[in-house]
Amino acid sequence: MAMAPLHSPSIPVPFPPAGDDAGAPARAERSGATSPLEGPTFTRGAVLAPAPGSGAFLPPVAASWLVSAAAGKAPGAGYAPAATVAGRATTGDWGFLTDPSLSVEEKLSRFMAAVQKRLDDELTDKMNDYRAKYGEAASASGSDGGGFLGGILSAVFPKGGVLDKVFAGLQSLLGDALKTLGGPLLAALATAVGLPALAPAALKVGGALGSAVATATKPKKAAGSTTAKSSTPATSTPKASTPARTSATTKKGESGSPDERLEMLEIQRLVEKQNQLFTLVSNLMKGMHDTGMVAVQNLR
Amino acid sequence: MIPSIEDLRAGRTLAEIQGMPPELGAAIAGLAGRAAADGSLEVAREILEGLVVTNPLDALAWALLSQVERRRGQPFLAITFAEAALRLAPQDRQVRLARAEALLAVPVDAGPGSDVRRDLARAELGGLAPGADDVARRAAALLRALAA
Repeated sequence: MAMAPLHSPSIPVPFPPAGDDAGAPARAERSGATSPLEGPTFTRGAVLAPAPGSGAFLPPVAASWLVSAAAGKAPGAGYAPAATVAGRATTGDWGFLTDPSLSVEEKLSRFMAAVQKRLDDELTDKMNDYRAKYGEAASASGSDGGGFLGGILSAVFPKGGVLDKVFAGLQSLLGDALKTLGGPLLAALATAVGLPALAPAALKVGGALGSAVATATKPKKAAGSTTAKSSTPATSTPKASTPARTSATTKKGESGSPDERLEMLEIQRLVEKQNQLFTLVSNLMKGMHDTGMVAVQNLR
Repeated sequence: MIPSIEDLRAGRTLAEIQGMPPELGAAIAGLAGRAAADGSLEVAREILEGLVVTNPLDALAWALLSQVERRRGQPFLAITFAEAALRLAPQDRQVRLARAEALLAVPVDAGPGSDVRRDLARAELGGLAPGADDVARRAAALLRALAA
């Protein structure tokens, strides 16, 4: 769906001219304070447009080195073709439906088992979703942020080499900084550093982490990190105004929040669906039994 | 269109799913850069955060966000975003410059390794200084300031 670039966009981002305050970061580095943003003209194009493989607004490049199970041969090659009835496959979980050796009662019981298995899987998935959204979020808000934050940190600042010395002792500060991010931004960061598998968890848990940090560590932050934050003219708190952050930090992780109740209602609906299935099959079998009994009684 | 969990896990970006062309990303980044230049850092940050959420693989958006966070007084977010940008485009001169500036913005008393950070930034700037573009001029000016 992504469009190929028609031309190489070269849009200068208007930063103040170079050299105005070139020593600012250096002075900040010496004084321990941060500096105003001065910088070169950021020209888009070097990264975005002609970089097939960067993935930036471009269709993803097929990874030719990936070996797919279906790459070299047709799926199911070497096996007998599946038996079909009226164009439908009858193998797999539902193969018993076309098995002529089974009675209707047997098919019904197997049907019930198959549907039951599907419902069980669905219910388990729902419970896992609930745990990811609320169970882990609650535990993460009480601890140091869970494992995936460490995973993202390790990906951004990989161990080994010169980076160990560069960022030695900054892990806790970097982790605290990450905790201020909302779920969407954390998920984007995970994707950017090559961990897209962590993006869903970051999306769900990031907001809870942000709210936990906002409520629990404000006094500590104000007392502890004055060198990093007190010198800036920006007065708003970093967690205050971004829609992505606020939307992520308000709902999740609260006990009894509407979302949580909705999840519980969904789980309850699935359990009721199972009950309905049992009732349905029970009634069906009772009806078949009654029909048979009527025939037997008529014979008497 | 909203990306599914599978899309997220597969690394598909919202920009790809929604068919967002690169020109639009460039325009949005330009708008954020103008806001930053005007001093509207919060506006710039919000725009850039939306941009990197839409396309996490846009290295220059991460670099711009790093610049904005640095100016907002968030050096650790700045270095985190700069490292993310560098991961995406390790050869890009603008990204490397943003990372060097983020390294220099980390407070000296934040922890050990300030000398190593400054040396690394200096080496990075030294590699960027030759040339005649804005990045080179900025890198050369920073090197002069560091030597002073």
